[in-house]
Amino acid sequence: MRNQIEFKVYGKYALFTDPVTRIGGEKFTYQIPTYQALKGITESIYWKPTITWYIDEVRVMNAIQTEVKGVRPIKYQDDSNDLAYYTYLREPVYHVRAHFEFNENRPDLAYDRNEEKHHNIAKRCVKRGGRRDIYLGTRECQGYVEYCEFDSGSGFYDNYGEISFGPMFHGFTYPDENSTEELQARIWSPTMRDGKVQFVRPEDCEIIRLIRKGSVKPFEENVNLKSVDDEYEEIFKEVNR
Amino acid sequence: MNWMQQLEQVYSNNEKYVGEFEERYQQRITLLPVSHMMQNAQIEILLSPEGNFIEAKVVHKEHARTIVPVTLASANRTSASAPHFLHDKLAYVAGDYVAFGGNEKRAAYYNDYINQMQLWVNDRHVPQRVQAIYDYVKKGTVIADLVREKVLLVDNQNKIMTKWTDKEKPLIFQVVAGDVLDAFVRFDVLHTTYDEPAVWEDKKLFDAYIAFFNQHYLEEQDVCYITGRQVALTSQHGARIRNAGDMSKLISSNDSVGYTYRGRFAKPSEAVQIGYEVSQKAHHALRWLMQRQSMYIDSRYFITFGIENPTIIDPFESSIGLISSSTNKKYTAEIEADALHQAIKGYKNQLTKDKVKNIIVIAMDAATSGRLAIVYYQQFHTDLFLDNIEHWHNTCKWLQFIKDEETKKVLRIEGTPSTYRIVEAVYGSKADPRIKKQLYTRLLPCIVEKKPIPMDIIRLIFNRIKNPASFKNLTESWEGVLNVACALVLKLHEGEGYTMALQKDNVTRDYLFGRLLGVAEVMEKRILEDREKGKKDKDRRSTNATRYFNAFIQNPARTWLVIRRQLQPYFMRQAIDVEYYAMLLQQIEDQITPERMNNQQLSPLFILGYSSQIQDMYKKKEDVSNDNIEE
Repeated sequence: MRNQIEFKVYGKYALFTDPVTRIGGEKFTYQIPTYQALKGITESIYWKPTITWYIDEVRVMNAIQTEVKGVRPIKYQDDSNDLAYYTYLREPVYHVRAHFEFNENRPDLAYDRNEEKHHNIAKRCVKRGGRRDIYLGTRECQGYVEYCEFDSGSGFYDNYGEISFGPMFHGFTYPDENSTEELQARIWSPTMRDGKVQFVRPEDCEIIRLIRKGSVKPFEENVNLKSVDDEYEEIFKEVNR
Repeated sequence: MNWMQQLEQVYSNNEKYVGEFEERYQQRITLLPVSHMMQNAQIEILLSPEGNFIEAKVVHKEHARTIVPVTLASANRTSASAPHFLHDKLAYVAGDYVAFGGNEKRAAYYNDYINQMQLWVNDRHVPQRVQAIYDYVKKGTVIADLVREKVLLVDNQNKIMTKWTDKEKPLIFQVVAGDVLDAFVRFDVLHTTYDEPAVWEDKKLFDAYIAFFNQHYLEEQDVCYITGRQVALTSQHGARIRNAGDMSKLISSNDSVGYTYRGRFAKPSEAVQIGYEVSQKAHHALRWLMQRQSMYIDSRYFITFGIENPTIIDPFESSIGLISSSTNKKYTAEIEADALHQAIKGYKNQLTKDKVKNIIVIAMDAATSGRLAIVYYQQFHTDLFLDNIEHWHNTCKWLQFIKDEETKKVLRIEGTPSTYRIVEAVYGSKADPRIKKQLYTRLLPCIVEKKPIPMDIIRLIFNRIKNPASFKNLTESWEGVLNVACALVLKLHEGEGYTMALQKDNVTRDYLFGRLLGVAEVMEKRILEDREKGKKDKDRRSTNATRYFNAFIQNPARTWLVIRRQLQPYFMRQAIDVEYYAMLLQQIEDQITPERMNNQQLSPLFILGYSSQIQDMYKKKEDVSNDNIEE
């Protein structure tokens, strides 16, 4: 696919929290990563407001196995601690295929729509393991990104058949990703075939739920955005003089 | 599929059990109807169909369980007023509660109850029995009637006596734990036919309430994250999952300051929405499964169930337990190798007949008192589950002694000890249950997922058996623990061809050293038995092999020299079979080879050689004596 990148992401643990257990504090993981988690990982590799990442598919390489840990999170409101049991996925390895498209809700950044540039930067970023920290679901699950071919290597679920997971969280649609400036949650029912999950595009999700109205952060020249020419001018002012 | 959906399916598949009681551990349990809750009642009032008082009595603890229709608010109530329907505490149902000395802060409770009941009574489909209860309670004479019936007692100021200090307590003080005025009252209406059930077990009434409740209490409809459908939602989820006093919840959102969901969301419903019905059914199903077939240790509950039909074999069972409970036949002294296989096959047939396709193993525990967590969750196809169980029993087995209840004979059987036995053997009987529950949880994947045994468990049990002298108390025997350890070591070396039967051609160093010590043990024990005839077993001298057990593991070559020297006098005395023992020792020593006869520490594998050698020699002797009898 056009503008596609492929990479492997892995870590010791992953915790893609089931939202049902999220509100109480005893986190329990989903069996497979959500679309939103993979999108976040891809955005950590490379992102600009000009582009929107779309996750095409994920390949689950290792057997899905969970491990429970007794954890002692520090409370947010004071420095005492809490006690909880968190359920993590153990030794997750995923192959991911993603591509970007230009964010049509951002006409203010239309001048930056240079496909080749963004695609090449993204590919370089994958080779270097991403620009920012990678984590698998929750912050304590540090992850690592490497370039890899999606279909390479053998996975546990090759020729395994189908597993369906029932209704599951797909992701959020942020106000700048839809025309009505809403924060939405999406739900879909994924099926894993021979270890691969083909994601539906966010707008094609079966269920879209309005959480609340939001607003789009504006990018204005010379307020919170500076053109590269101005930046160059400023840095090399001394040199050019 | 997610765990809540699975549990809802269990509920739907077993709806025929709703309101049907069965008994376990002297408690009547049932699958509760939606919008109902189980409460313990202490007082029962019988009314006429016209709503007149007939009689009242104190309910015994065994019969106290009462199914109560509840609202969203009342099911999760704490101290604020939130009445149930029909049955409730005195403060709610008694109009004369304050007059008889009740807490004045609760004066409004009765009105809330009556107003709520009125809502139902005004409904077109209200059952006659509900009307009768409403008519009676409206009179506001509940406590007066109870006093007249001598269920409650008053003092000289006409206030209810809340405490009784004398020894011979009236009934009501025996069943109410705290304040008598906190007693829970249930109502029954005179039965019109012979088979009409009591009000709190009347299925028609359950259905009537559910219909009424759905119409009046459920409004907000939106997407449910569990089912993906547009349904009536709830933000209140079940507590009292493990037992009546357990307030921890699987789904809660009480953390409005802890930022477990805030930041992106302002309220919990923005993070997740759950349907009322799926929540009720999932929690009821879980409660039912827990009461019906869970195994618990400390605060942790383990449940194994089939989604279609809940009854499934227990993964913690021993081989003998599996075989005897599947076939209902008596086990013989020697289990044939395929008895287990037959048993598993029997289970497979049974489960196929019951159309059980999916099995779930789940464990729950609470780290704090407020929240319950799933600490283990795994779903299997039945065939895979049973294959894994069979694999566990085939790879983690050793000699086990069991007592036949009928013949009072101790039988020697090769099989897998129950998980209970393993945990007792690893930690000893006095260990903290909190440590034991961890081991259960860690062994669970070894049993149901074919995972290898964690090495630290082997080290723990190996360290325990290193010191036979520490097993002086009678609650557990060193031999018993040794057999469990052998089973675990065998599991650890699974696939390397070790067996319980003695392997004479196995030349592994640890194994051979084990055999050496085994011969020394049996030889000396036989001679001591001969010499100290008449003495009781525990008064006999312990053998050198036993005494040097630990030293032998640490420094095998040096300690063997010591033991061998101490066996020397026995060889001189020409006692029974000494030539045989001498020859055997010579053979094993030759196999060890001089360069391996060093002081490198022995690994746990050594106990396999030791145990096999001893069994082999005992078995030989028994065979010989049996032959003699036949001749």
